Amino acid sequence: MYLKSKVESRIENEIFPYLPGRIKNAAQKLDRQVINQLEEIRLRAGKPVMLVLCGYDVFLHENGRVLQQPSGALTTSAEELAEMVYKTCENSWYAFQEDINKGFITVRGGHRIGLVGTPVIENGRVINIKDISSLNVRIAREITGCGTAAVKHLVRGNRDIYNTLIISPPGVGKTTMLRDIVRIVSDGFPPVFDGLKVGAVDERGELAACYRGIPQNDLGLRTDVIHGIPKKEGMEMLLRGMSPNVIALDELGNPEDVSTVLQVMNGGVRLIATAHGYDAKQLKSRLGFLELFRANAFERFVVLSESEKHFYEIKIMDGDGNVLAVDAQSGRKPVDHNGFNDGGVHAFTKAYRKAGAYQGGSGIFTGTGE
Amino acid sequence: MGLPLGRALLSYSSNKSGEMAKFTKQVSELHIRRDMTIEAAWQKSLEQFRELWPIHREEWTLLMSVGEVLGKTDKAGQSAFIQMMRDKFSVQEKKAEEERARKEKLYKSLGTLGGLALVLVLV
Repeated sequence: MYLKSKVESRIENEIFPYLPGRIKNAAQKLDRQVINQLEEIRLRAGKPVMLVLCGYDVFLHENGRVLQQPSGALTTSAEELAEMVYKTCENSWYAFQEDINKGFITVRGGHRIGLVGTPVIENGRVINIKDISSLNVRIAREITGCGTAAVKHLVRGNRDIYNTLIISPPGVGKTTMLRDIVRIVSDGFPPVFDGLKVGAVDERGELAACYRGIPQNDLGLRTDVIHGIPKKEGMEMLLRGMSPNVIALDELGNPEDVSTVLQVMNGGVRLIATAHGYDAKQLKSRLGFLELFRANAFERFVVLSESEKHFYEIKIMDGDGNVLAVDAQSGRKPVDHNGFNDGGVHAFTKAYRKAGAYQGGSGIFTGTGE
Repeated sequence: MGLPLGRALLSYSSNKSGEMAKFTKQVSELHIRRDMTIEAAWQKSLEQFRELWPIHREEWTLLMSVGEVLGKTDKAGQSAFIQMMRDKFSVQEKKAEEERARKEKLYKSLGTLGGLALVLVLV
């Protein structure tokens, strides 16, 4: 008898019940190490059931073993995919129509079930998706504490923060980092820093992972979340109604948002946002950032990166590009290396991930793929 | 997001009384608590309530078919289906009304004749 980890319990209780019968039976026999490393379950009509473990694909056998090759793996039928979507929709397809049209359904726990098939278009808009051909179950993972070390470089006194941009390529964990920074800024860490009111605009639903309007992820006790709305409208609503000290945005970059972002900043409200990219220099030339950089809008950059050679790296820079701190095995000595390493981040290289796949290992910081 | 069927039926049963409220409560409970599909919960509940409801075979078949389609299509599909079922039930209602009127007339005549016979016997 062993104690199940939180991740195992969540996956078993929040994901497995939605799976089609045969696949659920096989999944329930999976080794606990596999479950702990599970990031995605990919189901495609007529194709083998694929599991993504720490970034690497394996296939599911009916006895719960994972296979390196698709031969002998369980396959999914189109009927099973339809059954799973129907179950995910609580037997009420019509009630989840808007989510289906967007291509995903968020379930309890913040997990996301992506779906594709044949879209039905009316007046240029998707009004339904029929003949579902693929489902992708993306397991939501919060990494509480991953932003702890970074936050102290982002606060200004005990009641203010710097306008901050978190930059990384897709899948490296910027949304995970943003979520944890928001949580810490919102909760505060007295007596050093009082919590601030944060308004989060969760346009794509990945930051708070709202299920029936309730955030499934912990964004702190002073955070108000508005989800499923374009950033521009979301920011305006928050400014009008919630008087936030800080506004948090995931995936900044739409040129249409620029004027509102500047309006937010000019109004004395701070901003924490994420952006796809490799560094601040690269972003400067992009249309959605050009004006913001000209206005020196960002005072701090948190740059996340990962390479085969180096471990996962977090770099904090000020608005002028001066490096304030670096974590992980990058070779650069951080300003306050010891303190920074206490942030609770457990990050491993892709090579480590590959070697470590289904051999155990803990706390792998992979982000959720966003 | 609309209200899923299980909760919609439960909400209806909480705000209404009568046979239909009892029926919808049972369907929602079987679906939510016992993890049955809406179709299975609808079918099982109908079988239990059949003895309590004076309905014809034709009406029974119609009611069963409601459970087979509820929740399985998009908004437009559900609206069209519900409208179609309403039309079908209206026809059934009309038939039942005609039958009631016919039988009422019959029973009235029988009552008159019975009264007359009683008078004849007693006088």
